[in-house]
Amino acid sequence: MINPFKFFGLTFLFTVAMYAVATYVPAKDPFAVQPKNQLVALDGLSLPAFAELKFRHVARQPRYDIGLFGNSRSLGVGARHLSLGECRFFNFSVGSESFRFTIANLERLQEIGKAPTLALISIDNFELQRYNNPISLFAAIRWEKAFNDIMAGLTRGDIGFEDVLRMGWRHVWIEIKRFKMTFNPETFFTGIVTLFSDGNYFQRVSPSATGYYFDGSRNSPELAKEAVFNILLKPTSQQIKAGYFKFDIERLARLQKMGILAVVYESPLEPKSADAFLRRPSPQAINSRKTFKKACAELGLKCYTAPRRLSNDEGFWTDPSHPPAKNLGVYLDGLLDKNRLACPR
Amino acid sequence: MIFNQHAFIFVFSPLILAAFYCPPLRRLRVYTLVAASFVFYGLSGIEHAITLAAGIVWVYLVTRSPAIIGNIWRLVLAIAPPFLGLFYYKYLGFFIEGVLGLGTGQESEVFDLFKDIILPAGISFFTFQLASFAVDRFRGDLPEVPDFGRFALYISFFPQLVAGPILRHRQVAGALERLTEFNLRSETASVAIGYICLGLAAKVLIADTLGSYQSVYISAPGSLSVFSALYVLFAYSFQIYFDFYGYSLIAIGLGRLFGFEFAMNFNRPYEALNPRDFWRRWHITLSYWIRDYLYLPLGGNHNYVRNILIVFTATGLWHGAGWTFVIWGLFHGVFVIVYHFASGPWNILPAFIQRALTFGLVSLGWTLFIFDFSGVKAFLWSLIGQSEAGVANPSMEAWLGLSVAALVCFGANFEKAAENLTRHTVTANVRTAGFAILFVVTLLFIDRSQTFIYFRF
Repeated sequence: MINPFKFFGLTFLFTVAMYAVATYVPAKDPFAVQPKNQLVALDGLSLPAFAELKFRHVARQPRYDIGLFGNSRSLGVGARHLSLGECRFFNFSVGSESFRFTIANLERLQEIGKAPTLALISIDNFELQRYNNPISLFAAIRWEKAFNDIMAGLTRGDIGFEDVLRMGWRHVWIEIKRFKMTFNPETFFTGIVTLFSDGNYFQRVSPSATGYYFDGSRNSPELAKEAVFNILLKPTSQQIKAGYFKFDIERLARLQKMGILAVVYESPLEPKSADAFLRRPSPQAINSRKTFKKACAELGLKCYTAPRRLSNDEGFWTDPSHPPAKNLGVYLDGLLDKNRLACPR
Repeated sequence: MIFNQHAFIFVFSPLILAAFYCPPLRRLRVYTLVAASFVFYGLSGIEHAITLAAGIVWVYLVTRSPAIIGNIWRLVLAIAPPFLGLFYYKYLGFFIEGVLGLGTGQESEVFDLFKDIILPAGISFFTFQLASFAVDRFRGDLPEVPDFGRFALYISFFPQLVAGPILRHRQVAGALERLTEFNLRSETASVAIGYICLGLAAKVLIADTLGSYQSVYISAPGSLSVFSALYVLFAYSFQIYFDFYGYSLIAIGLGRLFGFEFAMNFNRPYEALNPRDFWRRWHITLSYWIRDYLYLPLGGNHNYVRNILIVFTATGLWHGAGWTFVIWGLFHGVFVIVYHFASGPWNILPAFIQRALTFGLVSLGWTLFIFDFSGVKAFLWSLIGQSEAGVANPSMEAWLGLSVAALVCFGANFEKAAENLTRHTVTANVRTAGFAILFVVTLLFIDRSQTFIYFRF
């Protein structure tokens, strides 16, 4: 006979164990070792484990001069694409995350004194309206941010009650997604292997393979071989709420006052989509861009809307919203030139 | 909503169980379950939930009066609208295109509207339940009419709503009456957990795994080696079995949690000795429904050949609106007839040869579920080695998956495993831990799980 109480107790315990394994963060720092012409494969690692590996790496290092923050749209840009001179660079981007994660991550880095001197921050193109809450952070931090969001909504005049409810639901949704991440065979089996290989799991791969450079950037050679993507993007429904967006930019401004130069750029789109949106921008993108520019100007932040085209447009766009790393690198180099640093470039 | 979803397992089921067993709500159990069933069904489309509700209300209103007993016109009045609904949603497109041959030429625009009709999940199942109730009332087999809430629950009860088992009212009348007094005993909970775990595992770990291995071959039926074709032939057989069997087990388990004992829908069908035996073991509740409400009224064994062909054509059409399903039904009908006349020599064959022949024929029949006619033809050419193999043979992993499915199919007894109530401490603890592990492993793969195949019927 199956004892129902023991069954549910054991199921709970096994689920907790599975969660622990799936999000297990190996002690070894995959970004620390520096053999030349080698990358490190991080396939199958869960998103939270990946984000935490980057955080722990930065925590162990002297403060970086330049950090690139964003998601998969900026993850490919590495030191090899930028003219850095003596400046130390690390790509802090975490795939699938959005602007709200970047700010929370920067706040966390600032708390331990490891936020970079200059933070290049990618915000998804306003036509995409991506404004997710962070999923990769620890529960305590996620819940603290959720509490702050709700409190801000209830105390600020520029956030309506409907938006507070919506934000509350988004936090709940993220918790559901996070719970569902427990049940992923790849991350679970990767977690098992990492757990039992004492952190030596990370395989070195050659630069012709998919993997991560030691500056945190990703190399995806198979993507670069793809032909130009021929699909036009369509505007998505409004996710960015002006009040909360302004609240986030204010958080960024507070960080800037603490000694981090924040340079925010709107991620560019593939030229055909960009041209179409330039001719007919969506109302939600117009509103978000307006809030972005106004808040940045008021708070003294360097903010740049998406360029119409990246240089060398013939680069390989694997989809209309993921710029080719090389071309994006040229654009970011230009932004770095405009915002000079103390380290000699 | 479907059983193999996080939302069902972690949100819907616990909420409904909590509401069902909440003492202050005990008297409202019938309505709690009806509401839950409509939420369960309505999440896939309000229009479909309204169709279901309309069918329930209509059949109840027309059949509740004793005047229906022996009144054929009242019976027709009761069952015509549900069957018209079934025809509209399921067969109209096939009727226009496949039977009348319209809608493909210049006049196609006129019929475009009908091409976009979305089939409500499980419409064939609940229509048959509505019909069986009406016919039972007409025959006088159901002298007592349940109250409306209980009738609505009998038709819409979410564990069996979209893919059976097809229930007769008299099978669940007792449970419906005793619903407010029902208390869950640990033995019943044990059996329910066993069925649910095994059903989910059969669906997610076996059926869906086999499905993922076959997809590449199913898309290229004319470019398969003999090995690949054989793989598809048997892998799909096991896939559809574990898919539907898994659903039925979950339904039975969920039913037990609420005090219902559903009839078994399968009895080791791939161990059937002949085609007739197969239909006594596969989708048993449908076979019995067809027997009681179609075959016997047609005259049963009198005019056997005609009646069998009618019955199996209807069975084919029940499964899907298309000529492939009609042919599939006739395919089985012909083999049942052939067996009827050749049972003498067939029965003297060794049992394992009878089983192998039956399994082979049934597996061959399933190809009509997978492909259209040109696909079936191309596949059969591949099966006899007349095609040029353009797709790589199945991997060792795929064959291993098929072997495991075969071993479980012929070696494991799910009902015995679920119904085992041994109280010996060590054995019970090991079983509890084993089922918990099986459940968690199933959850690990549940995100990749596909919709149940029988949902589209």
